[in-house]
Amino acid sequence: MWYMTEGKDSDVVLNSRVALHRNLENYPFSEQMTDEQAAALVEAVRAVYADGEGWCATDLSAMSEEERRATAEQHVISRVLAEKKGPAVLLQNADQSLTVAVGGEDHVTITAVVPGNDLNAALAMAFEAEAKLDAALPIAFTEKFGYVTHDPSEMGTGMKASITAHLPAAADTGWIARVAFRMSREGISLRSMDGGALSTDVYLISNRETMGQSEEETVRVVTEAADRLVAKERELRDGIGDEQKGKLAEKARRSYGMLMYTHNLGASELVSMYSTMRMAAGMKLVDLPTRMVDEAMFTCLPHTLAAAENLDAKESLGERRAAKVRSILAEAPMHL
Amino acid sequence: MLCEKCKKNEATYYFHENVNGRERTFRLCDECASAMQEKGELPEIGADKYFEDFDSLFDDSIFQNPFRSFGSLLNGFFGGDRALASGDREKKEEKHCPGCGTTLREFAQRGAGCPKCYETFEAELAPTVSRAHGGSEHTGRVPLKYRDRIERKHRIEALEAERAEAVKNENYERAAEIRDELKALREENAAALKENAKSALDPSDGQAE
Repeated sequence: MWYMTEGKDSDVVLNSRVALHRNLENYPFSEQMTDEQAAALVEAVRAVYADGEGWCATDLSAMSEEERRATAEQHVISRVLAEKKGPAVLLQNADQSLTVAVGGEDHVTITAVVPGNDLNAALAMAFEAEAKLDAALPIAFTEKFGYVTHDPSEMGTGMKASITAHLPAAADTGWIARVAFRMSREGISLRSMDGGALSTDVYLISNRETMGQSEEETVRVVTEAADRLVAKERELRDGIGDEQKGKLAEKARRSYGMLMYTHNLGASELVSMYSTMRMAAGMKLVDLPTRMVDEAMFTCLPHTLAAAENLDAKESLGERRAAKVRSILAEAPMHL
Repeated sequence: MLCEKCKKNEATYYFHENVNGRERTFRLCDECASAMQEKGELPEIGADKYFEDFDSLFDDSIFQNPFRSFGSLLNGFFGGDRALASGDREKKEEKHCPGCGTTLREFAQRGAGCPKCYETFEAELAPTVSRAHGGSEHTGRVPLKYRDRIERKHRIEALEAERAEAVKNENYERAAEIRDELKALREENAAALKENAKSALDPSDGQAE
């Protein structure tokens, strides 16, 4: 998983992700597909990636409901696919940085996720996987519209490129709200990954346009936008006074202390501590790797945790969550 | 509709806000929306309610489709539902997708039946798709089996421009060279097309003299 290593700009950027939506000629879209056709599609694509070293194929029907939801929660498949009945398969490489999902709204969705700010690496990985599909099976394409996708708004490159970044200073000063509108007019979508009273200060920076722009250009445009946000976030963090920095570090240390010793941890409690701890870790105010803060957060998302523990997300997961977070943080104890 | 603020420009942005049951709407033009956003007078960026029941925690727009129903987009093109209904009797001779049998009207109502539908109805869909994408055409990656053909097409376009330039400059020798080169390229394309008959590309494309 992406949070096992730290990538470029890891003080601010969590990961970079490229998803390519592809459809095959000679198969109807999923609503019109019979189960036999869907099974044939799954087998045809499975065969393409059968020789991938360390690759693993998982039939969606063999996954529990929580496992499917967890996969959607980790952005590996769409929620529509997670709820889908009928033949569908997930093909993943050994470190799960590359996923080929077959049988969703689009016949095939190839998703590459890498740590840090590196969309080019994600694009290269996705392209490599896509080239295998292209060499083996006829991909639906028209010269005018480009790659045919189930959703007309994704036609053209059929690509979504996104960078996930933690921007607490930019959010706190209101800077994000000011640039979001301008960015949307430049074809960049900026979305917060939280809502209501809880804030993780995590934002998704992605492309809105898929036509009239090559994949490389799109990656460049999204990366430029992310770079601007990263630079601004760092500038704002640098501008924080020593007293405030001390307070931030203290808050992170207290959160750490609580997480190390609590035996019952609520999801919202963890979320409420995430941003401070990640910011203090990113600014090196405390001796804590950012990837561990991310790991604690992302492995404890409700469905992900429930699936890992073979439970239902509706059951109380407080004790399991506390144990999980303790085990992650214990890997590299914070030195004071 | 005119912008509510300046009452001069056409309103292009629509905002709807609901704060504790108090609803506000704004219909604004580009300039006013931008100015108000800068001053922080507009609702902030949409943060989805990810924490409702924790069910959709950390979900986002990657997989959400703004134009899920193509019908609404196409309605403009067909002149609405009434036009669709009155067209039933013409159905017999209507063009349909060789892949799944979907007619254009069915496409408008239910969306594409199979990927081939887009190829079949390319001409009819072009204005709508183009509108949804700000008037663009695809540039970027191309599947293998189209790659040579599209490269040749670009080469043909470049050579045609060069030949026109050569003729203008009365460089007839160069123009003749280019003519031979173009002929060879077109023959290659025609041969590739025959082989690729299954892909149903428009045969007239790139071949007209």
